[in-house]
Amino acid sequence: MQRSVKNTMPLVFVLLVGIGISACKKNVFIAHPSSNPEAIFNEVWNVMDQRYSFFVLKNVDWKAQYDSFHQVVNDQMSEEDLFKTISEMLKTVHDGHVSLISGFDTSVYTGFYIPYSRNFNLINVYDFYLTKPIKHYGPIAFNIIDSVGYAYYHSFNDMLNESDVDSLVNALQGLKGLVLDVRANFGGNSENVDRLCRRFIDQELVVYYEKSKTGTGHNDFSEPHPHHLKPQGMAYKMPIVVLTNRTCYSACNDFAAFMSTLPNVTILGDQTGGGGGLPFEYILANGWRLGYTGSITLSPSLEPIEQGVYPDNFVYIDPIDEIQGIDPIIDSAVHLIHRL
Amino acid sequence: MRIKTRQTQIYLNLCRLLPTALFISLTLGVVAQKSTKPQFYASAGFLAGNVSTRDGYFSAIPFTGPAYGAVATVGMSQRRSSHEISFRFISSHTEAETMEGQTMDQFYFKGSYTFLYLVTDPAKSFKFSAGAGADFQDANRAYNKFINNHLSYEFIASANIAALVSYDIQKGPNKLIISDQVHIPFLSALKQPLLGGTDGQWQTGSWALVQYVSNELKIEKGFGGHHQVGLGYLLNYYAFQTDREVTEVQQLIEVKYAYHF
Repeated sequence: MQRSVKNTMPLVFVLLVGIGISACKKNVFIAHPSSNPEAIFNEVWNVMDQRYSFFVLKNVDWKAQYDSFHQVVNDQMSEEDLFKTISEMLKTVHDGHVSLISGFDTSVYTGFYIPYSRNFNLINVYDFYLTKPIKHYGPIAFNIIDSVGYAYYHSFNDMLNESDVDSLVNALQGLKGLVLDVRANFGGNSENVDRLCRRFIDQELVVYYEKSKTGTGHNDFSEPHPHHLKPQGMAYKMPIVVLTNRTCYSACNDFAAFMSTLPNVTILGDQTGGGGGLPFEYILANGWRLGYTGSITLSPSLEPIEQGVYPDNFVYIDPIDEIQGIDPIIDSAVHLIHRL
Repeated sequence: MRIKTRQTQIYLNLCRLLPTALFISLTLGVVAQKSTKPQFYASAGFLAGNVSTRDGYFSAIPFTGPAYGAVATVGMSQRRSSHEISFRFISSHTEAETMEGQTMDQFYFKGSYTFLYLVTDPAKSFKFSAGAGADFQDANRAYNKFINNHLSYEFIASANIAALVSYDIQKGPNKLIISDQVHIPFLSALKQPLLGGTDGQWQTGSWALVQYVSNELKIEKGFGGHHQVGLGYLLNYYAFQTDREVTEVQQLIEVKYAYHF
């Protein structure tokens, strides 16, 4: 009996050790990253230095930003002060896709629209242009203004189904054209951009090109990779006016860039806000989330669109018009379609 | 702020397994044997344990969690030499160690060939074997809660040196074997995505590129000449220092059954 117990002892030992280790929630073989202020600051700077895509295009001296902001970083500073310091450093790249999120605060660059006139008033749009009988095709609000279809798409983050676009196209039958309003649309899912755009084309086209980072250098990018789009159903070939402003950003910016290349499309309003690159995320050692742009999106004509897309005609909303509920951008679009 | 998202997809390219398969075949063919009768065996087993991964592209924080899998082995041994081909898959569900809800699922597959030559006296209880092998390991990871880039993978094919120490305890017709086998690579080829995308890029190098140690501590007990059951502790560690550096540790308990023909 004693011998058999002895024989099984190694077995029991291995079993206990194995079970003990596998039950651990932390692994002793992988070193945990340091999360003191100095380490976090360096982690942010390094991730941005190696992966951010617009240092060259925007002529940002990132090393100079390190030298400038690193001076105030020390291990005695509070989390809040560190957050502010890093946020200020990140804002020097002037990019709405660059963000810092902690449990107590969020920092996002808003300089692409805050200093500029909004050129959009949602209340006026609903009170005076999307009046009853308003229709909703998924996330798109629709009305007919003077024999012209007016469609407002608030966010490409709101899912657009094929049936929604079918309904929109059907509603346009017999009308003189379409005013497609994407003002205050901060972007979202690019699939919704594709789903909408493919109804306006009758042959396969390149919607945009993407250049990805291939290395850690500021100029290490792949060749432009085209994103093709195939038509879906009968192409809508009547005049289309797309309304934009500074808050048309990211996927909305891509949409405006592509639509501007179609022969029956006019872009009206203010220039878009930009956001011409794919956003990515990284989790810092202290759990904060760093958002950064990691690619360069190019228009179908291979131009960077990070700085925004210019309209064919600049039209602004005068403050007095806004008080009176008038949206000169919508009015101009409807008049333009009647003239075409 | 709403930001654009795009779908990304990664496909397993089976063609990349070909070089390793060729290497295995060649190695099997060139090893000469003396004229003792070969013994063949096959085994299958279950794995359960813990996987921890630090994929520096996503975070410096390790993702750790439970894992389970299976292993299948076929082998042939003669008086002093042995050949073994083994396949192992491990599925793990991990979570960032300091962030609840930030999860990553990984599917890992490894195939290996090992040739060992018994250096010490076959009649002695204590045995030491040394040899070489080749293996490939493929890890595919899917992260949640990351915008746009939530997939990652690596494929590593390596030539390695191998060593086995074992101690036999013979009890009549039954035998208890305690063994420890280790593999350390000397030449590796690594394929992983480029820094900012999903397109793969090959890199080759020695220990400086891919560092790994695969160690298996086992207790096996034979019954009646043909049957054998075993219990093992498997430690697989690998790391590579590239633009997208990855460190992974797998610790698994292995329970397996082998049949000797």
